[in-house]
Amino acid sequence: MGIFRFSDMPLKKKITLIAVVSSSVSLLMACLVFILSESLTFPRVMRQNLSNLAQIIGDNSTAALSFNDSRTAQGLLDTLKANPHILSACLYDLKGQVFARYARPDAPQYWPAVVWEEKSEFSGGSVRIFQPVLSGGDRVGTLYLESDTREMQLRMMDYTLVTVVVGVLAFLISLLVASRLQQRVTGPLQQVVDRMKDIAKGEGDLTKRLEVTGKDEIGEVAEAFNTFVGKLQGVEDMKLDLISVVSHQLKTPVAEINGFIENMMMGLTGELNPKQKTYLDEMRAIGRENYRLITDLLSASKIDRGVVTVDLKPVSTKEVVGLAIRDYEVPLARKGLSLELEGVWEGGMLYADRDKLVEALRNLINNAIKCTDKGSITVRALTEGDMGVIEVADTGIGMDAETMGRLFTKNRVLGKEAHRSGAGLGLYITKNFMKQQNGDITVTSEKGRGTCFKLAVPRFKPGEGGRL
Amino acid sequence: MSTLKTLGFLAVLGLTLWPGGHASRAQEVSEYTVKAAYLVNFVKFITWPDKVYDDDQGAIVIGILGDDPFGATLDDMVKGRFIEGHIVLVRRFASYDETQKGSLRKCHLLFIAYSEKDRLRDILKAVQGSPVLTVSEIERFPLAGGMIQFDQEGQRITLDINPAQAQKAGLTLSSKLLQIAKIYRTE
Ligand SMILES: Nc1ncnc2c1ncn2[C@@H]1O[C@H](COP(=O)(O)OP(=O)(O)OP(=O)(O)O)[C@@H](O)[C@H]1O
Ligand SMILES: [Mg+2]
Repeated sequence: MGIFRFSDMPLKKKITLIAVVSSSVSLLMACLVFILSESLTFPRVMRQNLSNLAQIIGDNSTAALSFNDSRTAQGLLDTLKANPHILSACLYDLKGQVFARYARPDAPQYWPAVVWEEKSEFSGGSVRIFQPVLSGGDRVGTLYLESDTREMQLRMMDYTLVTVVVGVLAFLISLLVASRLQQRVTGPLQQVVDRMKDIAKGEGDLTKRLEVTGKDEIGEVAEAFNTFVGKLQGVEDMKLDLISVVSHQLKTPVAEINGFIENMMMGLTGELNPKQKTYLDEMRAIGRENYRLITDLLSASKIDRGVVTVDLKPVSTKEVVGLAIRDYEVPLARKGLSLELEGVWEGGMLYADRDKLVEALRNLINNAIKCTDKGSITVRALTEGDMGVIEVADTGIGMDAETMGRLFTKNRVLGKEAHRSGAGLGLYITKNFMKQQNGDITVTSEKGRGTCFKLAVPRFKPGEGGRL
Repeated sequence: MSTLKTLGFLAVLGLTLWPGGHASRAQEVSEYTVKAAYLVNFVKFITWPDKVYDDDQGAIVIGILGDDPFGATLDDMVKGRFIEGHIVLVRRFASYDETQKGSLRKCHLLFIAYSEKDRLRDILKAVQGSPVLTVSEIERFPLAGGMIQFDQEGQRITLDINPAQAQKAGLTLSSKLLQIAKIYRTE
């Protein structure tokens, strides 16, 4: 793990971390306060306990001190054996001389000089007290007691152990709770994020909406996002409507102009001089290109709006190819290309939408002419099992793998050479039309060698309602 | 002189001269100074029935019967002192005769001197039934019906006690006192 950055952490980790850290810290503080207060009060308690013990011992030794019986006093001090924490004890008489003394066998055999005042002190892991011994209000001696602080240390160790155990337990529980709770926060958020990514990628279905689960901020985000997508969909619909209306409105006038140009070229307006002929030739080419573009736009907008309908009927390969290659003599001739037809006359019946199949095929031929500078274009008809196949092969520039990968998408900047690329709608429409006819389009190509597009549609099977 | 004995009379000295008693005034102290201090100390370890304090302004009376071995030492020790909240008076009686009977019975503590050895039986009979703590140096005193006898163990002055006698007289001896004494039992 490299540099740890809070801002890069996933939200669920952040939430878990925050919950765990804050609960652990507060627990730790509580434990610390507890231990601290214990460690402050414990010495006082110890001192008090020792003083109480001294009181009892002192009280019991008054007669021994008063009547000079050090043997009894000694016996009294020896009873301290029962308390393992007492390190040493000493009774002093009024002169300050040792009267009786005791030391735990393992403790140093040391007794300090008498201290006359009442006194208690902590030092070197033990507590010592000096306490006057009084009998009937008169002082009869002094008692010294020394106790180790092991009891305190053991207590502290117990507390520390409990703190650690409780801390670890609390940490684990809060981790568990936090990781459970964070799912309820991040789960919906992750859903929102996934859906947003989906739509952003372009594949997103604008008709889909996020499920709004709650009234919290995430719910609000989802709701706002839904509103946004709704508006986006409105814009998209408007765009499609606009394209469809405009292209529809343009189609008729362009067709009419093309008709007039044909008429003039056929000499209906009188003899044409060579220059007029050349101009009209150009105009006709441009007119046809315009018409094709408008048709493509209209088709693409129909596809996008999902209103494409097909009219599947038996149609012969020959008829389709015949219609498709119409009007291409001039462009072919201009580029000095030859058009070869193979197996077309033998080609059987297909079950397809004639106009759509023709448009698909024309798109392929169009591209082939555009992308081929010398050689030939071959339109080949064959059958592959249940499918009738029409291939368009050229000896043109070919395509690289990257172009081929994006070929059937509506990608307007596909062509690398400006004069060869158009609106980028041709193959998109073709692919869609083929799908609508239960067929498909595939391609093989080699850069610099040529390309072969292959259209496949079901063959017609006479008799039982259509297909083979 | 043994350490124990030194300590013993030093304790007494300290008791009498406190505060400041611990100063180095280690001098030979007579046996009777120690015994006098013991007499006074008994007061702290013995409980008399309440009513006996009614006379003499609630004073505790120490009676000395016979030849007084203490002299002024005892008077010095009790002068101006309160023991267990009472002043202490010392009364001296000449050798025992019947007429003293009433006064003896009013003592809290009666020291019977050696000179009274032969009249001991009469004396004890005279104070019998009243709460008088009898103390003496006469041998076998506890067995003869007395309560506390000063004895000697090497250089140390020890106590022989007959608690049954004290109990009969209505006195309560502290267990602490019994702890340090040699106990005698009659009956
Ligand atoms: N036969 C081919 N040889 C080489 N490249 C081709 C061939 N057919 C298509 N391409 C490449 O695929 C791209 C996409 O073709 P498509 O028909 O979808 O769009 P377009 O021809 O550029 O425009 P439009 O067909 O809408 O006028 C072309 O621009 C071209 O780069
Ligand atoms: Mg094209």
